Amino acid sequence: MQGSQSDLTGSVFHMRGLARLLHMCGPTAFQEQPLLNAFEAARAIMVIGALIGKQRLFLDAEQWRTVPWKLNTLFKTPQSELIDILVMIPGILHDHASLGTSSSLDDPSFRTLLERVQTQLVILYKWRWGWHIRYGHEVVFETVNQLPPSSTFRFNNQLHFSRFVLASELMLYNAILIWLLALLYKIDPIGAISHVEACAIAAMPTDDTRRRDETFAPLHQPGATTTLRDAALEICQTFEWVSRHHERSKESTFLYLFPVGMAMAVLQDDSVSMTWIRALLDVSPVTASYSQGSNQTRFGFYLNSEPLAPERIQPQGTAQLFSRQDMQQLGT
Amino acid sequence: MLSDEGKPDCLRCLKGGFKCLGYERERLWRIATTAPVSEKANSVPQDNNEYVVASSQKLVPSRSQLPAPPQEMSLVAFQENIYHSFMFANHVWRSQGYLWLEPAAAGKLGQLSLDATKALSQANFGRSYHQSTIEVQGIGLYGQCLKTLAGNLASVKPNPNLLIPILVLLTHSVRIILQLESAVFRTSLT
Repeated sequence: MQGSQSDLTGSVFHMRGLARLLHMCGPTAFQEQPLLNAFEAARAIMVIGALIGKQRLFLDAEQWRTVPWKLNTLFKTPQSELIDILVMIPGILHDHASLGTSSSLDDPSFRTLLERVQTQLVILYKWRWGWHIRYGHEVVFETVNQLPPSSTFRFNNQLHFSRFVLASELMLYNAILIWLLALLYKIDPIGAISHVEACAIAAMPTDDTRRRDETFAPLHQPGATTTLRDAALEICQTFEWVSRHHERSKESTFLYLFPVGMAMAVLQDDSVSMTWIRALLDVSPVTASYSQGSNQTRFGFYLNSEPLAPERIQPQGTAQLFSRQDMQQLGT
Repeated sequence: MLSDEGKPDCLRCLKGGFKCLGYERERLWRIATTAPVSEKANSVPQDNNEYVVASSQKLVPSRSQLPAPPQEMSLVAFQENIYHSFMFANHVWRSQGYLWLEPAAAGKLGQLSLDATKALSQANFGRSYHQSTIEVQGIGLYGQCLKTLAGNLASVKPNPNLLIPILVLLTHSVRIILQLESAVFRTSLT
């Protein structure tokens, strides 16, 4: 473990270095390419570190979610918008952990926390509607009567995407949805389903005609499902297509395997699904090692149910991205 | 057992119960030269009956038709290109560093970014092909990059361009983590 600790420390060291550099340079320093793209990659990596450590990231401030794209708003992609939502979650996890398990909805802090999750869920559902209206026609599904034996296909409905980036966006959407749904169930288990429905209604387009005519099938319309499992399976069905089209990944995908890790965390007790996911990862030698053996490290965090039960874990030492001193210096 | 070339069926096929396919065989032309293959060289030679094939026969492309370096030629000069090429075959890294990893490897984003990509690609290649010497060289170069980076970070004025070499070095250290037997995050979180 000696080596592993030092290597992990090395990664944390680099992430702290990234945080300090970004903090010192400010958001205006990353408005031009390729630095803007590098900033987005750094932000995505740091969000993962912050989720692991349940530490608020200074990048959740409004200026860090707007200023880097101000010179050219076209660089703000649907993927960037999703990471804008994801970057808010570590702060919610942090505050949830600090409230303790004895708090109830009578506590104003607890209610505020619930509202923060609902706000992000409405933004996420609005994103999904917008994405569907713009790109829904680029996702088609084909029904096959008989699946080939010993294949990586599982369902008769197979998704097809006209562009790789759409598949990666849909997977990331579902990964974020898993986090937000899990938080709703943690904060208010009894009222969670009604909160989901309320958020879905709030996010619907105001145009009634459009709302009525749109069909999401076989994908899930916002609010149509309230289970983590459905979101996880949608990730897997999408990754089924991705696993056959890795070579098409010509555009930026900052969190390539993160959604699959989230799906594995949700489906870890479902041996059929786990076998299916591993088969999909094994399609490519690049991703094969992520599913088993030593490279499980990457998914070690997600493979547990703890990320979906945040109060159970108390990260210590190297698992935390920032020290107390770092947090003070970064103003979080 | 040699064929007696009997017609319409040879004895060997009769005994074996096979359908005799005759004695005409497609001739495979293999070009074993390092010189670029010209149109002329690629055509069927007409000057010698020994090499002339029937007009109905086609030249079958084979791997050996591709220009290949002779065995005595060293590939040392292309080592870095090979490492980089292998690194870009990793679609996860390629899509994470879509706009900066390739320019960094081409030396367009400064020496430190270039050295960082060299370190990453070399260590990755060495590990993937179980070439410990190459892997150790890559890790050594990674260490040198860390020293240079530390010096640059110590300067009073922050330089946003350091973002890219840090990202490449971070990828390298994550790559090392992935080799470990233990799930570090899991053990530290539970």
